[in-house]
Amino acid sequence: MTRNIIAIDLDSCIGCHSCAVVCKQENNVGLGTYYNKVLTVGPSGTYPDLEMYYLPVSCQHCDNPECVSVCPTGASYKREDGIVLVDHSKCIGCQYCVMACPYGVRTYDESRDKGVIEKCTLCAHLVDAGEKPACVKHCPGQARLFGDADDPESDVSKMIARKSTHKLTDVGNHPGVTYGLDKFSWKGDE
Amino acid sequence: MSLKMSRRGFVKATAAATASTLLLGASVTAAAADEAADGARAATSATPSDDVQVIPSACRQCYGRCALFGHVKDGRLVKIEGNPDLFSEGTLCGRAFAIPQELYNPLRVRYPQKRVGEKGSGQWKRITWEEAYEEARDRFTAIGEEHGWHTIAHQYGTGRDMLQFQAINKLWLELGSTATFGVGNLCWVGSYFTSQRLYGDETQYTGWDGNNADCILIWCRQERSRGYYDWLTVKRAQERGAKVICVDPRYTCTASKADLWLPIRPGSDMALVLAFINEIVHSDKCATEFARFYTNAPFFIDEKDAEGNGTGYQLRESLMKEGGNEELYPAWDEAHDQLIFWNGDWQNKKGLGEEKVFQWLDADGNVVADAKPALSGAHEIDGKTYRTSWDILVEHVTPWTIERAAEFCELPEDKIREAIQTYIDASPHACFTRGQKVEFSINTSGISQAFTIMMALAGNFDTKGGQNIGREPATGYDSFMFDVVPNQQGRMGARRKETAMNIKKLSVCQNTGYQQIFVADNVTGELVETTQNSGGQVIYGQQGGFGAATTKAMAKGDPFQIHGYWQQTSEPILSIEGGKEIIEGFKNLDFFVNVDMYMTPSGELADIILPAAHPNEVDRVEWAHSGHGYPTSHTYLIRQPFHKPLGECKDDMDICFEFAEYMGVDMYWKDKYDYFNYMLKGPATLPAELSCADFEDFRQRVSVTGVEMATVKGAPKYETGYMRKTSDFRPGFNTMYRGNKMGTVYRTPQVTLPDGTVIPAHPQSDNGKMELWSEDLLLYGNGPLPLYIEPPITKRSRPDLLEEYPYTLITGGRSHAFFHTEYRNSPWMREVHMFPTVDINPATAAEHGIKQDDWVYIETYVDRIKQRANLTAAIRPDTIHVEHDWWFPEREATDDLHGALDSNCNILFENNGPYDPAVGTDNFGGLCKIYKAEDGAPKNICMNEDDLKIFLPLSADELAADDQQNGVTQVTK
Repeated sequence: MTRNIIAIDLDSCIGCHSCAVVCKQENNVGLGTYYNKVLTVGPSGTYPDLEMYYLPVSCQHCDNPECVSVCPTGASYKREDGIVLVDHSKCIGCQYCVMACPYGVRTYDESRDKGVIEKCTLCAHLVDAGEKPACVKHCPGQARLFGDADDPESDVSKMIARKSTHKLTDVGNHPGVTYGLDKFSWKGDE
Repeated sequence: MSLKMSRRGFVKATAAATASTLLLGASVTAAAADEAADGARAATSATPSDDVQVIPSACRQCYGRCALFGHVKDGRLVKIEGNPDLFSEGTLCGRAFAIPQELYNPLRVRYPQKRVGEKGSGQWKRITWEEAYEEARDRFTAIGEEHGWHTIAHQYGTGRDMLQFQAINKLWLELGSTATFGVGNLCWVGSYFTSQRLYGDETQYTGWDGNNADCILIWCRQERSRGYYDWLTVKRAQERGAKVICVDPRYTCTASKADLWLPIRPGSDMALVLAFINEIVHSDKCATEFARFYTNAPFFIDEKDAEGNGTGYQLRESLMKEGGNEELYPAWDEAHDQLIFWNGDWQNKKGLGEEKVFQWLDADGNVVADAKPALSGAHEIDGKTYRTSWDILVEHVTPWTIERAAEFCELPEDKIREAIQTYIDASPHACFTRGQKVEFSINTSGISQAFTIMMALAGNFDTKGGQNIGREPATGYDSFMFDVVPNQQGRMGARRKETAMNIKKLSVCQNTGYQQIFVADNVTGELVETTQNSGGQVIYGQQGGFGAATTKAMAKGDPFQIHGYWQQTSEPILSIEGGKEIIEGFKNLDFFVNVDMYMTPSGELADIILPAAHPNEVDRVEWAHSGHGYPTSHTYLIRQPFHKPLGECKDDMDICFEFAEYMGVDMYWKDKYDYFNYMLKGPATLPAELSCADFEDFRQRVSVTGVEMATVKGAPKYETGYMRKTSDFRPGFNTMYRGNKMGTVYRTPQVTLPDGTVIPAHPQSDNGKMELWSEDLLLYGNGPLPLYIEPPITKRSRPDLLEEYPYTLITGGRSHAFFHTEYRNSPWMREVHMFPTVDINPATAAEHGIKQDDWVYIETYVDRIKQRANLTAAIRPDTIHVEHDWWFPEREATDDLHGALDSNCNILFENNGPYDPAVGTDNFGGLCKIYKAEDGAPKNICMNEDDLKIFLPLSADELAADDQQNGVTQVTK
């Protein structure tokens, strides 16, 4: 079975925000709304003994998404291939999912469709056309990878096999995005 | 305009294109959103490809020139996509996606404008191009005829493109203009100028071969400031096992990725480079045979003795005997125990026989084919003892131990030792690259010389994994031929020639004279106040002036009043020290034409604004300006328009050609295509597959990649003659730029020093030898070997200031959201980075009650500015970093010239010298205090994402509805 995920090699990520900006182009995301944010973790320690890495955060396309469970209309749903989406024709803008999401990656946009929830679609329209998400295609560090986590030959599986991997805090939702980080200690649990 | 698509472009066009409504204009957003039926609403009304053109082009949002495609629908750019077929591998940084926001920006000037109110009033009226050109012609001509053409200054900005710069420079040099604020002497020119004088090329920013390196030494350069594909090279090298060393006072992205970070004290870099050289010359890896046969290391130096006898120059036969040859340089031949002479007379002016040029000769003029010139050892000739320049160099660097560097740079000795050892171990497969910040100093030419010596003596020149030392353009011809060819053809105009001959009277640099600097005594390491003779401040081989000199001329009439000014896509108020005095200077001008895409702070002080096309509205030959190995470094790619320029905007180059006609200037080339065709065709010897018939052929090909001669010939270019630009293919280096060339005039020879001695006249030294010990730099005032010069305002040079201004202030770290003054009006880039930001260590912030995101004042003894605090351990507790080039296009012209003064770090420094003696670079760091701004943010600026909506692109209808009869409609929050 296909399980499409994003994996991000943080040792290759230079925190340039390209992923955040190309996402705005590809998905027509309005000002002040972010499908994807790039956080700077650190620098921690005392100058000059420091550690720092960048952490792009977007919808984790969880295996067991809390946002889908709490949605009263079935607007939030998970596709067969693992991508979590919001059907705007069903969304009533109640924002239960916004509250349920542990990562704060869903935004209520009142300017659209009388108020709906927006978030990373993993560029499902491109994936369906056999392409990669825009952020993966253009990543200057080639840090962002996309593919089938169940296929050992996919880019994501190879990176996962090669590096120390981490996930954002799991409260039973089993986040799908996998982060690789060898150079520094992971601080995503703090 | 017809836009032909390349074959490659057609293939790409089959990909489904999307039409972002945000790019099309806010008014159609709702309609597109309705189409989002399922959750995969893609923003996109995923239109079939039939009505979308996909055009291959290049990005000009920084120097990187990444390859991209523009998706164009109904004549409008709707999407940017990376081109995976070229060196940027399909990757693009955020700035590329801001291109549509630039094209359709509400603040874009689309029609020529004439100012109708007071300077700075923001009151403009649309005029025709013909009216603009005619008025410019009449006003400039009146100034030229009344005051002299040297009283008209000209200026171009960084990063537009090198071909545009060539056109601007040619136009104004032919017209007799000399002064510019300069852009290069803030970055790159120090390195370029120095490297040109030493060996004829540049390899500090570019040319590093990370693809094959075992060590990459990165000095104050950000991985995400320009040409991000460099990072792919660096990370792949690391994955291969190469070691990456980062030298930077700040814990930058590069520092975090490096294997070893040296957190150097700002401004102390020279001490560390000298320690590198010292360890290299005393290691068994030192490239002594290179030094022996390809540099001036074996030459004897006619040193000055205690009585002041001796010229201080390289010894020549002419200094040894009456009527001797100026181009014969004596050395000692170890192979035959005899005095030999290097015949550097490449043009064979003295008639020693062409076959003897660039050979060692014995005293009778016979070629000594197996000569082995001695690097070391003093010899007595006619009663005077001479040392080799090698011995003097070694003596100079030997006191610069790791221990001394540790003290100057405030670094641990073991880290320095590890860095140097790593670099030496990896040589000759070690490469070096650096950023501009090492260059922002009054010793920029000296440090460039030191880096050259370091790379050369480590044996890294023209090696795999080292430095590619001669730029090898794809077809063999580069942008500089734009001016070189007409001059070769004898088409330099009379006024330009006359100006060059009289440059001492016509240059704004004439009063720079002597300056006090702090030099480290080589023996004791103590800082000693020293008088330096400032040597001439050249830019691109023309004694053109530099920021402070041109400012003084405009604002104070010193040494003469500048009356006219032509500026093209540049913003000196923000980018040059002493911004307030520059405003004063602009207000003094009789006539000022500004060519730009937007209304800018200095543009508001102009008389006429000419609307420039966006870089993606014009045709160009482009190449990667970032650092990289083959094939990136050897590739030309096309930059072609996504559509014709908006309104009546014109290509910068076309503007130069058109105005040249009004002024009667012979540009030699008929138009830009005439030059492009020449450049792309290349010399007759070029293999057919590298030669394009013309620009239209190139348009079909999209890119051309040339060859690496060191690989083709299996030997470094200095061995095979490919470094020579004189086409004589003699082994050695290209030294044609040394001496009094292209209007450059040394100031030093025959000048009387403060102690009464007269500097002797100076012969040329275009002798094919790379100079380590440099006669050329000696003449410019630097001294022949790189000196440690403490910057003028540091805790060591100005302890008297410390009580009031206790913190070291550094400026200008590059931002990944902006390119210098650009993109402050891009909503997406401002979303990434909303405010001017000062970095301060949390411990220091706590002492002053400063919290994250507080607005604070940063104050020097000159002035103060306001930026927003970022508390970060990335910076030393005694150091503060402020961002550069901040203005607020959301503010009115009448509101401090669009907010040009509130956060502009360059008003924090004075412009009264000292300057780099060769290229005039000023000091851009100092001492400061910092305190909370109780009055908060600057007034009238965008404070959140909602405010940024004012900058959203105008729709086609909105553009059509405003023909700018009364100037550009200012948007405010």
